[in-house]
Amino acid sequence: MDLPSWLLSPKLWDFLVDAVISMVILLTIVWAERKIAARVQMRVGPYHISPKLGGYLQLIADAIRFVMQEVIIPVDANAVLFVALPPLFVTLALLPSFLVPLSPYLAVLSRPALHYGLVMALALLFYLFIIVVGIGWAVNNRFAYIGAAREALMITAYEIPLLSAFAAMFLTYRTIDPIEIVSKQTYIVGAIYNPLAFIVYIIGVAMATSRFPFEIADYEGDVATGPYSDFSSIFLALTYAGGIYIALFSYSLLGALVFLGGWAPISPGPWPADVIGNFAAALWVLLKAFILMLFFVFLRAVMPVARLDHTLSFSWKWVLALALGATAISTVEYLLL
Amino acid sequence: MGLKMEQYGLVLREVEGGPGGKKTLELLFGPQHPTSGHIRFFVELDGDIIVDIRPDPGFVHRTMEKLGETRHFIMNVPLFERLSLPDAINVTWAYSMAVEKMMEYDVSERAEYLRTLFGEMSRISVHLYDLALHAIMIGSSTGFMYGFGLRDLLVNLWAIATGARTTPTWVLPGGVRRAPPKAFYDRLPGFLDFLERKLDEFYKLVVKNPAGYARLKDVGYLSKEEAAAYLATGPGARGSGVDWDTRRDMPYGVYKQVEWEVKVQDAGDSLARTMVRIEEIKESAKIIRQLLKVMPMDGPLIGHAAAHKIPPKEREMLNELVRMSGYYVTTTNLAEGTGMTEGGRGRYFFQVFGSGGSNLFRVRISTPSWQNLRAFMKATIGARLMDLPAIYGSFGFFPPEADR
Repeated sequence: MDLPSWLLSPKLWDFLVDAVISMVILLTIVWAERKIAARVQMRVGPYHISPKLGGYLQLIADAIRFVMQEVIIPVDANAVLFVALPPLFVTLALLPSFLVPLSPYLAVLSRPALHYGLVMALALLFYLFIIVVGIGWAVNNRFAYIGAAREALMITAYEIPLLSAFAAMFLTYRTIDPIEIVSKQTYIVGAIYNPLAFIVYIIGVAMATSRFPFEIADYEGDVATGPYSDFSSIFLALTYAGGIYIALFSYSLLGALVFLGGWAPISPGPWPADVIGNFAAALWVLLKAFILMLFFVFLRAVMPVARLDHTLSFSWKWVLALALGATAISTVEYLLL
Repeated sequence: MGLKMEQYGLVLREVEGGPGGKKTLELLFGPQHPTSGHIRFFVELDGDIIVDIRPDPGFVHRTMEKLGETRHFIMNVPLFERLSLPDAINVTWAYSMAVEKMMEYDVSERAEYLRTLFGEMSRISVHLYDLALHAIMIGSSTGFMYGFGLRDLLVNLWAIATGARTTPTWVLPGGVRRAPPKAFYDRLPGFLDFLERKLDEFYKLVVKNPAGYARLKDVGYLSKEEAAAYLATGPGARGSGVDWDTRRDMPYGVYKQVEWEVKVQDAGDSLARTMVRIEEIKESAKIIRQLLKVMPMDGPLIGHAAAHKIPPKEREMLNELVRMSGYYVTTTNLAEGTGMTEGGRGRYFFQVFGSGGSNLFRVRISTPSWQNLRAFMKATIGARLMDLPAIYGSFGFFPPEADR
């Protein structure tokens, strides 16, 4: 049994696991969102495409429909950006999940770069919604323009608290290295170390990925899907119907590593010897991320949309104060632990 | 690319966008917008604030008044039902009252009770419809599904009693068309219990929700004087403290024989108007429960004057069903009649003039949404753009009924 060395490369397997499982999670989460909302709302949800699977294949049918639609580029739109930004959106949304390890030995990045993986992932995710503003600018109709302005305001609302939450956790763990962060959590995970930071993270991600009750930039009530209006087929699938969920997956993966203990309590052996342990660790991390995503999509079933100015004042008054409190708790832990 | 590069972007668009060189952005909240219904608003935005809003109704104008003159007066009953399908009973009741006054028909006692019962069911139906649309307008899809799911049970009851889910065509001049079967009376109390339980859930989920409460509280303020001056009706007026209800002030039906009260809220914002709706549903359930105890279960469905035209063989089954043949050979008087009822969204007013022939000379309709439109516009100015759906839903504005 002499396998070529590239086939045993941890980088390749990390990439494959992340890419494949994230696509499966994307399909599952949209289905789960519709099913959860249906269960709350006294109805069935997706059913008729595949009754035995509970309508799971409905998402495949929707994806095919999205791809088969006509690609329409409005006359007023900036055609180059209109076409170029949706793929960029998806790239920036999925890239952060490749920058963090899925187990101590499964990682795309190698050692000196891996140390900064979490920070790089956060930086990329904060760039992501500047793309949304660019989309609204490129589409160039009034609803998209109002939606883009709202997205810009929302960026100011969530960015500082979310960054503060992660920074507080870095203070608690005394490191920014993702593998060391996970090794410091056993059954006592980051959310127990610093519950305030976890709450701020939840609120911040709900704002960042426009989950309810903060679906403000693409609120159907007055700006019809906001920056994504005038998007038709594959563009819509890459941004509004799919890309947002990929961004949610990336955020949830970071949250699973920092707040939910990553692959703890599984501690696999070195890579080529302990393949099954490493894969089990990777799947365990992704499962935690999926559970976080389930909570975020469950919010759709119970919340209306908050108002823009209420959200901004709530963010600057309360969430920022919570983030400062989380930092204070982490400072105490930094000095004591 | 149709535009030059300089015309992209945000600030320049805003400077050039407004009418008359004003530094406002004009937004066409068009007839195909997800939450606009079938009406267009020209919204002028200064940043996030609505500084001016002009309605452009008429997209669903169906010439109801003219159509009412072109056919036999009994054929107007299914026609005027289409004004406001959720509120079908109250609309046709107002028309029937007008025709009864014109023809000097009397109404049998059993028909009055049945009309009152079904009018309250119609009020529950239209309130659930409006609450559901209001919920989806402020972004809560669960509230939408709750409202329409509950209304589905109610229209199933209508289907048992009248044969149609949304178009009963049940109220005739002089009485009602057919008697509800026993299954209807058996299922109605259970439905009312379920409705009140689910309505409490709706209230907790949408109105008491912190996000939803902040969306509705202190939004779209309409003072008592303004509501009276702009002739708002229904929840639009009662939410501002105007204590006026056609059922109590211009009595009709058997509302005098049951105990109920007019629900008035003083706040004058969207939350007050929504709370008026929710409390009126409970009040209607109370009225229906009282009516079920005192309801005459047997008797003719139409009054003597209308039954006089019915052939003898068909007159024998007047306790269960009214055959329409007698109405088609009836001609109108050279007289005038008016009918007023309190629908779910406000008061319906019909004025009919007989021509002496089979069809009417003139029908004048006044619907509540058209009156609420002025108050709605007044309440919207000064609000934020995200408040527009919340105010829209709280007035229960319904363009098909306003445009007629």
